[in-house]
Amino acid sequence: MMQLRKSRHSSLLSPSHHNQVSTFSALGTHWHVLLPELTITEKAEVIGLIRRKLEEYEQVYSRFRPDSLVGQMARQAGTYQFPDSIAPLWQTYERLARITNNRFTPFIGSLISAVGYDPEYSLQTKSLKPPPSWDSIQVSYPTLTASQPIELDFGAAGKGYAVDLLIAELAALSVNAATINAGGDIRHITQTKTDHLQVGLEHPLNDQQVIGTVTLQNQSLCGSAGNRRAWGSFHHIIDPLTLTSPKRITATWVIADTALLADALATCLFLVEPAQLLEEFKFNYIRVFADQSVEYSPSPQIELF
Amino acid sequence: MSEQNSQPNQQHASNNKAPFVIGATATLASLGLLAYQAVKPQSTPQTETEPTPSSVTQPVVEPVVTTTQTGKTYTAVGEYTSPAGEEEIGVTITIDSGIIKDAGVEVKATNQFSKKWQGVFQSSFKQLVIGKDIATLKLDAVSGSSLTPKGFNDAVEKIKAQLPS
Repeated sequence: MMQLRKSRHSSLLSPSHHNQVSTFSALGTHWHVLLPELTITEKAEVIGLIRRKLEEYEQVYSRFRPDSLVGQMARQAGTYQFPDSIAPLWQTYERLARITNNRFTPFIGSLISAVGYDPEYSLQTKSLKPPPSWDSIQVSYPTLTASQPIELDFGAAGKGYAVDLLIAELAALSVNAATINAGGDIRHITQTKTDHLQVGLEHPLNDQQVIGTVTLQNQSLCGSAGNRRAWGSFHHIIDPLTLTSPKRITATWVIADTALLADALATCLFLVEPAQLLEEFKFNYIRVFADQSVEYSPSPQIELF
Repeated sequence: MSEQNSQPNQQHASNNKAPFVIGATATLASLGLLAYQAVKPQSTPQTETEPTPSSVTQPVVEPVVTTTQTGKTYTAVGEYTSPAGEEEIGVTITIDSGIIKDAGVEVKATNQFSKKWQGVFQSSFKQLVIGKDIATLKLDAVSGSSLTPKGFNDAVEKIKAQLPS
């Protein structure tokens, strides 16, 4: 395993550190990683590791790769051996599917493809059918057995989960100060009391502006919005009960201890009321509606202008 | 009762009711807020009893009863559940000699959570988001959807290129 020595200078995060941010593309979006306590050489090694891990992750979970495990399962029934990482991910989906009455589901893949957000991005809508039931997959971790070809889609929580897995990798290397920003889904870790992030909440209608800020420390902030990946009357979130994209909410953000949860709940807030989720999970949230009103947790870490 | 009526003591929400009166009865009926049937005129004064609820599916809040020179005015706040969450509606009815003389509906500001949830959680609400330019702020990061998948953007561009100009 790689051994890293921490640099002698332990620097506080501040906006002036943006020149130390490493950027790259993965999982279909742009990543920004801040590793404030590492030397340039150490950073290069860690970023290399991160990119390799993300490549492996995509080879398993990406709906857009025909040769990924998910891609193979979409074409053929059978038993598929996933990495151990599948268990927390699948269990989170099971739990949220139960709470949201199956509005939040990994079986949304076929529906998303049918409305046009398919691996070829055809953006052509075919006939829509409700997604397959949970009975179609037998689980015996880490294997999933599909009794028919099933199009799984982990888009609602997969990016957040990838961030958590990377944070765990960093912890294993004794890297305890980091910010990973995966296309707006952020997780921050630190051991310094004064080290926190000021994160702006992008205005759903104007990407040059923010509608407020979140103070983040050792937590994750994930956002979901319908305005960017949209075509016709659909955007990237499909409600399987109505076979339409929810219109009333234009953006959501969730602050939680893990990126998996923040990412998943940000999507769930398009589908169910916060009350149902707050009964089972600890998180803060912001929801912007189509009329530009906003509802949010009364937490001091959230400031709206 | 004569129609022209300039009783200064009348206590009903006349200033709120004007746009809503016509729809008020239908609204009240559909919400099950009319908790009593029309009362037959009686020669003896009515005792001050609360109207007994008919079978309603939503909880009915006890109305506040005020006696005026023209009759009794009942004001109640009804709660019901819509797909958007709990909603409140204020209703005022004036009854004299068993006849509804006046009715009004006040639509309360929509808030997503009824009072009974306050013990479970609370939420804050703003009517309008205000944007500030990112360049004017000191931010460590921005969370939003501006970093759209490249493949998606490419696809949209291709489709746009195919559209008749």
